[in-house]
Amino acid sequence: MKLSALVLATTLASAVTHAAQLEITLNQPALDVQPYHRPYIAVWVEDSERNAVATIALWKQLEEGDKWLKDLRQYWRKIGRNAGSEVDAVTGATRRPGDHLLQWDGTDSQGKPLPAGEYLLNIEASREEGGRDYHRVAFKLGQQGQMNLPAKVELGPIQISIK
Amino acid sequence: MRIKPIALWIKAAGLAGLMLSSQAAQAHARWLVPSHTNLSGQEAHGIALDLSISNDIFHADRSYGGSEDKSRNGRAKPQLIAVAPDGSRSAPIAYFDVLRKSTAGVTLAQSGTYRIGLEQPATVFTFYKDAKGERGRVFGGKDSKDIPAGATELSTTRMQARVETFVSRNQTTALQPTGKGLELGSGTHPNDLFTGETIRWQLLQDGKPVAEGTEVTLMRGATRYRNERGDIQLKTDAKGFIEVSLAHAGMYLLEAGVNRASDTQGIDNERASLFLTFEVVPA
Repeated sequence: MKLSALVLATTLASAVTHAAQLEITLNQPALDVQPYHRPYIAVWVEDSERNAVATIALWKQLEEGDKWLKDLRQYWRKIGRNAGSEVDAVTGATRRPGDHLLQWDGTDSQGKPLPAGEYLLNIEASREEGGRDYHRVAFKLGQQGQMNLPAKVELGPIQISIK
Repeated sequence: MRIKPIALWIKAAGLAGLMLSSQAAQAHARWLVPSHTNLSGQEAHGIALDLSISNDIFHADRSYGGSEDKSRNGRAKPQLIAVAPDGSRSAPIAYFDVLRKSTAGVTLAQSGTYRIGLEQPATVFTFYKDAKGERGRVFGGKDSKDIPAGATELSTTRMQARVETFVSRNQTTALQPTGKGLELGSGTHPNDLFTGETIRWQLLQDGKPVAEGTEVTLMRGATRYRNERGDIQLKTDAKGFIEVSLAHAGMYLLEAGVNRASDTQGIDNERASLFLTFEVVPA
């Protein structure tokens, strides 16, 4: 039930999607640890005053509900704590290690296009029995550019292209 | 070592012990430490609490209400109370003496911010100078039988300590000051504290901002593993606010105390102190 609602939401969302404004290739490194718990990962956008404006992705263990969401500390304080159903469309299960492509169309959580200007891209990962990594980088929406974030431990290298 | 010899601190406080220095009047730090300060999820969860009387911050020394809790002086054990986000007060929560600390569990059924703390009737002490000129103090008022014969400069202080912490489940909600004693008022939410960010807190004394220059000490836990305690000394501004940015994550204890002249017969000075535990997480 939950899953089919998710698929439907995703389909609807993609049907009205504007052209991608932000393309993120996020590497989730394979770690040689036993046991390996897939990390929780959140990717979201804040305005320059650090007010959350859009969630791009939230990967969590769906069967656990929100019990461990607090460990994505920055996501939790900025969005998770106050989030309603608007993040359902971008919520999915934790992923296997590898390169993950994410796209964002420059709209807020209501689907309204955001004005051009400076925003903050946030990427946070937290792994059970592992560590936590967090990036917060400024970018200009509406101005073409390319950014590369160096690998940390829970997050590998990240390429960001602004269209 | 935080305990100063009585003679020294009374002298430092001046005026026959009427105005006690903020450091001096409490013999030991009192604290409680929650296992979690933020909880998420649809189901109600519990937290565990450790409570102790200890100057070695967050390393337990004495349990509450145990045989070594001298401050009890025969009175009832302090009550552990949780005030829910909707303002409702819990029944006293059972806690257990495990020699050097007490432990308890609290279930957070509502979403929002809980105030969890120890409540205890105020303690009355009388300070004096004995016939040989030595300073001392006893429990009770000026009629206490424990005051040595010939003692002079009798001064009675009523002390009210607030020992508490805040824990939020899902939402953070605004603190609801009680208007009594020394407590946290408006400012940064105590369950939203990150390293490198400015924390701004107003302290209230009986519901009003504390006087400018009130001393506040912040102590980071795990003092046993540092040669320097690194206590942070702050003073409130004209509106009763302190402002600080903390470089290190950890559990911290905020300690402060304020005095005012009493309007109760037989009591000279009212002292209110605050021991507030809060957590700072890495940004």
